[in-house]
Amino acid sequence: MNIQDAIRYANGDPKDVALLQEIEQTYIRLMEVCPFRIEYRILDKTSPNSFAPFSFQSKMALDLLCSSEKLVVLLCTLGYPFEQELNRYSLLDPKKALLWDACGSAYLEECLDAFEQQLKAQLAPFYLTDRFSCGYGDLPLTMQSQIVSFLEGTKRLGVFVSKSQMLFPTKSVSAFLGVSPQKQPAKIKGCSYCMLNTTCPYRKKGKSCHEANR
Amino acid sequence: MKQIVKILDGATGTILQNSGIAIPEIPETLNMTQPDLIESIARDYAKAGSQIVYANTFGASPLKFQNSSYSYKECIQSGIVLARKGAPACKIALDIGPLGQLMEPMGSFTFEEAYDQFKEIVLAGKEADLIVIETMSDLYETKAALLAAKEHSDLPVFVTMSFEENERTFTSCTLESMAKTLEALGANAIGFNCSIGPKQMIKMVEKLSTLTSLPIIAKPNAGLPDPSSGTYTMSASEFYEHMESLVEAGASYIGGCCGTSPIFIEQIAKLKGQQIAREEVDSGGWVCSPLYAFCTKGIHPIGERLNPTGKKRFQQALLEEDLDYIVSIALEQKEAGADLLDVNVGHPGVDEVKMLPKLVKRLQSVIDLPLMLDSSNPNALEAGARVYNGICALNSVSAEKKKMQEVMPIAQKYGCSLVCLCLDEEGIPNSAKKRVELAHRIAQQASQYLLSKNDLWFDPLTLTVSSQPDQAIETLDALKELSKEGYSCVLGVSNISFGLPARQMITQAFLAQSLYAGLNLPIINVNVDRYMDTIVSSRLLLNEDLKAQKYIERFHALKAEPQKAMETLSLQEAVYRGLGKQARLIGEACLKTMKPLEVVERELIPSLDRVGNDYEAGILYLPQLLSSAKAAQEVFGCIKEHLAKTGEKQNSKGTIVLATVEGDIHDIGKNIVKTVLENYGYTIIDLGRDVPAETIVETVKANKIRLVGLSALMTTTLPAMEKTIQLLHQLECPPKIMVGGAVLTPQYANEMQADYYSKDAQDGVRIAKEVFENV
Repeated sequence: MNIQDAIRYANGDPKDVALLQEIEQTYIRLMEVCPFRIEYRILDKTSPNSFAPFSFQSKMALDLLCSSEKLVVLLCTLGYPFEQELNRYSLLDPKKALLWDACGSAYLEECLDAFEQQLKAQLAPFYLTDRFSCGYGDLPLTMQSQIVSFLEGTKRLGVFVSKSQMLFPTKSVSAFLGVSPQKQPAKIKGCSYCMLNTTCPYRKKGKSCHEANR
Repeated sequence: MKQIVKILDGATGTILQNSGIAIPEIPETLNMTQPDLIESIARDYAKAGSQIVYANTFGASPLKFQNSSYSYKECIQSGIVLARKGAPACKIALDIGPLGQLMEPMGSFTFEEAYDQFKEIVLAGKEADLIVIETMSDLYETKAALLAAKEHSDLPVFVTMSFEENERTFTSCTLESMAKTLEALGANAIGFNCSIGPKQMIKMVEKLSTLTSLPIIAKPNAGLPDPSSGTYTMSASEFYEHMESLVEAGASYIGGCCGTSPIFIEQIAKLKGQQIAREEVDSGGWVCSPLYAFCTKGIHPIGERLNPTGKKRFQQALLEEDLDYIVSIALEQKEAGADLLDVNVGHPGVDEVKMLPKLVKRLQSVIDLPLMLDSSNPNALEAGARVYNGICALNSVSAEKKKMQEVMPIAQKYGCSLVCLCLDEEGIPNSAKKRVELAHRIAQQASQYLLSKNDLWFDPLTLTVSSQPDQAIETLDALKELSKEGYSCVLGVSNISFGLPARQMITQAFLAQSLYAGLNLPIINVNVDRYMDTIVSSRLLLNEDLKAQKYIERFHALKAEPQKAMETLSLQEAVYRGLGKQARLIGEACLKTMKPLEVVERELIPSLDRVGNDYEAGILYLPQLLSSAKAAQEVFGCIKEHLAKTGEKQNSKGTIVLATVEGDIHDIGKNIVKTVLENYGYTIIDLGRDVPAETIVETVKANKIRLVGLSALMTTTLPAMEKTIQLLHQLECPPKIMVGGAVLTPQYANEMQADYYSKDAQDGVRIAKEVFENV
């Protein structure tokens, strides 16, 4: 369980034992109620900038994918149960809503990391690039619709994209990974790599979660 | 009961993909551009053995065609014509899929909008031989489609939903809720399609077979796809083997979905005409929401608190449309152990026909308990039952002719259970015998509306024991007789004690006796512990609680709870430490000696200020700030109740509009700001999330608002925030605007010409004070 991250996302006191227990219980319940579901495809490179039907103009993406021969495109979600419980907690108790939301983010990240490890083993001896999502760097958010449509995300996972390119259920992620014969250096590091980079309360105060935890 | 196996078709999309043509964004336009290909698909399936062929109309809706050069009508009509040309000996189905819109309550697409879309589709496809609604995952959307089909066509309607291996759809709809709701609404056959393979579907068909007598449809994918390529690898012969098991499990309409083709259908056509034996299933007697369904045999407490009678605070909430308050009462009852909630909105000044459906939708957005709609106005009952997601109960009908004629058709149409009061035009009979006779009269009339025995819940009526001491026994005797005849019995228990001191004592005793006499649906205040104690104990005594599981669950901790020394804790301290229950109790005690305003100013505000300061200083963290806010909310709750009772007016420090801007669906931050501002005495108009600028401007104008708080989480929604600010600035008396949210910085706020940047909830309080105190 990704408890430490959940505490950070909730902007909680890492030394608060009672909070730690509450988060643990919340996390366990979340794992029971919200099954992690993922759809992905592995696509071949079809031209220097393309893995049909995806074509990249983003410098960041092209830089990451320069040696990649294949592209993994994925969409995952914790689904509607997460939203249903969040709605309930929002009315019942704002603290519970906060913890549920934080555990959701931490669990989604944990599941994605586990999936990535599994994929890495499956694709060996090839290497995976960093995982990157629409909206990172100069990769346009509009690609989100293309991913959901390509993976039939609405039909297969119940994921919708709003006009403003946000995913619903809110705990959903779409992402790419390159598959390369060469070992890949970690290029996206620290906060920009983190899923919570836009919501992180530490970041807003000019700190990082790692500093805050010390 | 015997059913004959009939063969449906296989996938259309898979064949189109394999044909090598470029599939347009709306595949139904191929009916116009590639008619030969579409006709050939129908022909191939007919040749393979299909008896029912689905026309290529799955995604055709007015909405999807709004930017197309073709009309949905012509595509639907030609789809049916082409299928008939290709498969002249087969029945042709108008195929209706999901609209691709996120339905309320999660999304903004309303039930009524969905209904209108489906109605147009049904009208356009009237030349078909039957209607198939398929690949649904949202029960609410499915209900809209099924209602539209039933109300605008006489064709048989088949409905299949897509379930995952955990026996839930994406929207968490349970198999029981799906089966009971679709049957209640008049579907002619129900089942599953897509999402999983035939092997995974077997257990679900077995289960469905125990829930319905309707023919069962099984149209699985060709196994599970290879995740990395999305292709299906199951062979037609393996598919056949599993389909054979599906037929054994009870499926009588069989076909294929994604990954299947005419070869698959050719295989399963060997099963055509086979006779399967199914057991008849008792229908009726179920209530459900999409997430929770149960049969009303056995004891199920019904929460009575959603009712304005004698409750000033509730009446005020209804008149002010403060639905959040009403929902909080519902949540309280769920936590206390209610299985079903009675919902009554009858109060002078409240339009029940509008309010009941509105409240039903709001309650169902948060609560998964089934509802019992309670009104003397049949139009309100109909309006509520129509928008209800699942199967609700209706409260009530009696042996009065007019009542039966008005309410029974509503129960029939929406498959509702019905509370039947044992009284008629002459009032409540004095004897148990006469009340049972009235019950029989109601049951006879109900059979004409095809309501089953299980759908009728008889209420032999509780009379006040202080004024009619001989009547409690009559009620108990009537309960005994009705339950002996196999009926469910419902009773508003607490009437018994009206006018007596220590009412709970006599109510509790009457509840216990009634449960023994056969009452299984007591309508009570579930928040009173002694009533729920009685129910839980009675379940054990009546052998409904195997291994005393529920009993132990409720009572095992009793001896472990030592009484805390509450008197040593001040209200300020209880709030600071986030001890909600204690804060409420101390608050209630304070209100006996202090005026409400004094409690707020002398106790709550200083405590909240201390919390705020310590949060700023990094001594307290966000979860602690929220615990304190919640504790303060508890105290405000009892202050509001006190004010409603005494008729005093509550002072508001000012009204603030809060909204997450258009395009943004995250609102946890905004909700925290709302909680904290409310605690400081501000009235909040919360417009929710994804709110168009125009709605915010209209609300500000209509309520002469002086402060608006806008929230955004993502950079992509900042333009919407900027637009909102610009429009607000153009008003004659522009309000002050504070902005906040993850992506906001003081610099952004300044560039967008917001008046304030609010870095967190506590900062919002500072800004509100500045705006409302510097008049």
